[in-house]
Amino acid sequence: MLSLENLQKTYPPTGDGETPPPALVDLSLEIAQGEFFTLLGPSGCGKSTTLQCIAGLEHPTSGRITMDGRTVFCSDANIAVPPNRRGLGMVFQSYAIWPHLTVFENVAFPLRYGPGGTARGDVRARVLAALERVGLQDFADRPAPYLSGGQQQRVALARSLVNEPSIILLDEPLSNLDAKLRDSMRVELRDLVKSLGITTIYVTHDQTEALSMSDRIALLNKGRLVQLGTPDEIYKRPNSAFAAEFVGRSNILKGRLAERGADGIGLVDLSFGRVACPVPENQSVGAQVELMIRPHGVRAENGEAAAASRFRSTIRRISFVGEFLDMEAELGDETIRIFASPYSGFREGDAAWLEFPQDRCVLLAERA
Amino acid sequence: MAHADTLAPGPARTFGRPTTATIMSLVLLALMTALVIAPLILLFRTSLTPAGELPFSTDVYTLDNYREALGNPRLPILIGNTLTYAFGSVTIGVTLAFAIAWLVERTDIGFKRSIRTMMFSWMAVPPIVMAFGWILLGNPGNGIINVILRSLFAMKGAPVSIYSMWAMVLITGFAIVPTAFTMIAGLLRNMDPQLESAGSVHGARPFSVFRRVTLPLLVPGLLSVGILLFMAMVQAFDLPLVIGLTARVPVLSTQIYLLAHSDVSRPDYSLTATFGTFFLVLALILILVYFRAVRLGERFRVVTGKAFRPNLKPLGGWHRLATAGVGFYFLVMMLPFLVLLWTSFLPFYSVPSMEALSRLTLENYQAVFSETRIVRALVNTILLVLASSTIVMVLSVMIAWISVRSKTRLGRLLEVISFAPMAIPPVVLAIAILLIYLRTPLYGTIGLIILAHVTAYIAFGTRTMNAALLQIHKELENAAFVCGAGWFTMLRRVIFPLLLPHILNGWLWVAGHSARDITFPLFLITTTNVVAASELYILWNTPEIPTAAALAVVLVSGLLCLVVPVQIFAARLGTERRKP
Ligand SMILES: Nc1ncnc2c1ncn2[C@@H]1O[C@H](COP(=O)(O)OP(=O)(O)OP(=O)(O)O)[C@@H](O)[C@H]1O
Ligand SMILES: [Mg+2]
Repeated sequence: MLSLENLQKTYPPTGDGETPPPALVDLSLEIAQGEFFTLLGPSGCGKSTTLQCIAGLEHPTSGRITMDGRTVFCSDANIAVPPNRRGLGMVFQSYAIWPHLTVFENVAFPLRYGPGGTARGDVRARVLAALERVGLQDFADRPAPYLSGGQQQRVALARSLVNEPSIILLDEPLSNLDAKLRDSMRVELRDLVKSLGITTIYVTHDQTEALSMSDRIALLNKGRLVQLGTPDEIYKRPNSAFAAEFVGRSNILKGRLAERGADGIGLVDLSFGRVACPVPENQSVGAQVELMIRPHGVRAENGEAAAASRFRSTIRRISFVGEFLDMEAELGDETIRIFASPYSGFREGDAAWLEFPQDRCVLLAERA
Repeated sequence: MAHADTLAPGPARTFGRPTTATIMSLVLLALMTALVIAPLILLFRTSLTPAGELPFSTDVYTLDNYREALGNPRLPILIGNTLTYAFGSVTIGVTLAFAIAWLVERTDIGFKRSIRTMMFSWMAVPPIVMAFGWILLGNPGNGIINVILRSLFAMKGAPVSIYSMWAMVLITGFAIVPTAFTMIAGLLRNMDPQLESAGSVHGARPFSVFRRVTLPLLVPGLLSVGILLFMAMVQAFDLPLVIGLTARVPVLSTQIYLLAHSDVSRPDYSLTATFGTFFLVLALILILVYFRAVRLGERFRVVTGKAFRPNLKPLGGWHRLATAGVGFYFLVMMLPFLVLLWTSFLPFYSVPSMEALSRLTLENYQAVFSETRIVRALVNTILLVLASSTIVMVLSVMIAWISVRSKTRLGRLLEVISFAPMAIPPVVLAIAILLIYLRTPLYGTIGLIILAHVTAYIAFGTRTMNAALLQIHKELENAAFVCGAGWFTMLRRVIFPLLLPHILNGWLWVAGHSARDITFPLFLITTTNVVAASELYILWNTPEIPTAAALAVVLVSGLLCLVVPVQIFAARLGTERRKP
C-alpha cells in the first residue's frame, strides 16, 4: 500500500554553515492497506520528517516513496509529486485550524479548493457528515478561534477525513490535550479510522499511545529504524537496550554467555548467579552480554521455595503507586526493579525470593 | 559510522517538475531585477558618458564627470550640509519622540489613545504641506510670527527667518517625531518592566534605574531607529527643496535636482548621474552601519513575546506639565496647517485680522475642483495611490513568502534585491528611472510614477510582510497544501486573509507616502502626469498661494478620510482574530 524505500534526508546547513547530522538514514518501511502504523521515537528522531516526506512537504535527499502502486517520490527517476496532488489527509501537531474561517469553512476547504472539485450541494452534505463523525455537528458555524483544544483536534480530524483519503497522516494529534481527554480520544480515534478502513500513519513519542493503538510500531532513533513489530513484540522482545528503555521500564543486567543448549536456550552468568534465557543464533559463547527483564516480569515471593532460577534478595525501597508496588531489591551487585501486586504484602528490609522466568528474559544486541 | 560520509549533502537538489512557487520566484526575480538593478546599471553607465550625451547614443567611456565632480569645491559643502541637516533633525526628532513615547507607554499620562491616533494620522500630512505652512508663518517678509513680533515689540526687519539651516533642521525634526514615535513606542512596549523593577528592588533610586538599566537596554534599539531615520533624512528631498533652496542651503538631493532641471541650460545628465553615484555610495555606507547596529541590538534582545502587565509610573505633580508639553507639541504641529486652512479661504494671502475676515471666499476650492489641470492632478493622485499601494502589497506578500519559507538561494537573492531600494536615495532612483524610460512611451504617463513608487516602496512592503509572516505557523500553510490547494489558492485563501491586518497597515503606509511624495512626480513631470503633490509645488511657485492652500487642504482631508477608517478597521480585525 505505502512503501518507503531507502529514504535519506539531510537538512541543508543552518545559518552558521554547519552541516547537521542526517535526519533520516536509510529508512525502509512497508505499510499494508488499512493498517494502523505508528512511528515512535524520542524528540528529534525524525518522525515528523518521515511524515513530511510522505506528505510531500519535504523531499528526501534520496530514496523512493510509492502509494497504491503510484510512485510519488523517486530521486533516481526525478519524480516528486507535490503535496496537493497526493490525495492525503493529515492532522498537524498544532492542528493548523485556520483562525479566519469557521468550523464549516475549515472542513470544506479540501472539497472546495482541492483537486476533483465537488458540487456545491455535495459540499454541505459531506462537511456535515464529516462533522457528525467527530461529534461536532452543532459547531459548524462557529469561528475557529472559539474552540477548545479537543474540539480543534476534532475539526482537524474532520478536515483530513472529508475527502475520504486512502491514507491519513497524524502528527502527535493528542499531545496538546489533557490526560483525561487523551485517554478517551485514543480509543475514539482508532475506532474511527479503523471503521473507515483508512491506512493510518501515526506519529507519537508517547509509548502508551503507541502500544495501545497500533497494529505495528516502527521505533526510530537518530533517524534510523531500530525495531519494527507489533506492540506485543516491541514490549516483550526489544532488540536493543534503546528499545527496552524507551518502551516501558526495564532491568538491564550485564553478564557473560556461559553455554548454549541445542533448543536455543542458553545460560547467562550474572553477578549473582546463572539465569536461563533464549539466545540468538549468532551470539558466541563466552561473549559479554546484556540481559533484559521487565519489572513486571520478575516474579517475587515472600516464602522460600526451590526453583531453577530463584535468588534471595533484600528489598531496599518500596513505593506504593496504587496499581502496583514499585520495589527496588538488592541482589548481588545489582539493583532490581520489580512491580508486584499491591496485595502481596512486602515491606522494606524484608527478604524476597526472585525468579526470572526464561521466556521473559531477553538477550540484547550489543550497544553501538 | 562509515555510512555518514556518503550522506554529505550535495548542492540542494530539487526534484520533479518546477513548482508554481519556483516559477513565481523566477518571475518575481526577473521583475525586481528590471525594476531595481537595471536603472542602477544605466545610472552608472551614464556617469561614464561624456557631458551632453545620452548613454544610448554613445559608446565612449570617460571619467571626466568624476574628475569634474570631485574637483568641484562645492562637493564638501554639499556633503557637510547633508550630514548636518540629517544629524540635527534626527537628534531633535528622536529626543522628542522618546520623551512622548515614554510618557505614553510608561507613565499614567492622560489622553493616551488620542496621542496615539494623532501620531498615526500625521501620516496624512505631507511634509511639503507643512513646509508651506511654515513659510507662511516664518518668512522674513510677511510671515505671521514676524508681523506679530514687529507689532508687539516695535522691532525692525525680520526677527526670525524660516530660510536658514537651523529652521530647516527644527521643522524636519518636528516632522519626523510621529514616525520615530511609532518605532520607539514599540521598543518600550516590548521591554519587560520586570527588568526595571529588579533594579529598584535591589536598591537603586528611580533615576539610577533609568540610567543604568532602562537606557542601556534601549540603546541598541534607539540606535537602529536613529540610523534608519538618519538614512531617510540624508535622502530627504521635499523640505530641502521648498525651504533649503531659498535659504541657499543645498544638500545632495536638491543639488541633483538642480543639475537635472537646469533653467539656464540643457540638463547635464552625465554629471547628474555622477552625483547620483556618489550619493548612492554614501547611502550604502549608511545601510551597512545600520545592519551592524541591528546585529548588535540582537544581542540585547529582551523581547520575549510575553504579554507584560503595563507597569505605569505615576507622574504626580508633573502630570500637568507633561500633558501641557505634549499639547504644545501638537499645537506647534497644527499651526502650519491652520495657517494654510486660513489662507485657503482668502482671495489673496494676508495676515489674520478682523478686516481679512470679511474677505473670506470659497473661490479657491471652486478652482481646485474645476480647473482642468488640477482635476487631472487629483484623478492622477487617486490612480497613483491606489495602484502603487495595491501592487506593492501584492508583490510583497509573494516575495516575503518565498524568502521566508523557501530556503533556496533563489529566495535569498529575491530578498536581497527587494531590500536594495532601501539603500537607494529616491532622487537617485528617480534619475535612474528617468534615464531608462526617457525614450519610451511610458514616459509622461502616470504609469511611470506608479512604477517608480512600486520600486521605491517594495523594500518597506517586503520587510513588514516578512516580519508578519514569521508569526504565522508554517503548518497553517502546509495544511492547505495537503488539502489539495495549489500555491496561489493557498496564498489567496490562507495567507492573505491571515495577514490582512498587517497588509492593510502596510497598504496605508504606502498609500500615504505615495500621495505625499514629490520626488518622483517632479523628476518625471510632464504636462500629462501631474499629481496633487507636484501640482501643489507648481501652484506655490507660480505663485497662486491661496489655490495651493486649498489644494493642500483637499489633499490632507482626502488622506485623513482614507487613513483613519482603514486604520480603525485593521486594528479591529487584528483584535478579533486573537483568541478571546
Ligand atoms: N526544517 C528543518 N531544518 C533543519 N533541520 C530540521 C528541520 N526540521 C527538522 N530538523 C532536524 O531534523 C531532525 C529530526 O526532526 P523531526 O522534526 O523529524 O523530529 P521529530 O521526531 O518529529 O521530533 P519531535 O517529537 O520533537 O516532533 C532534528 O534533529 C531536527 O532538528
Ligand atoms: Mg515532530
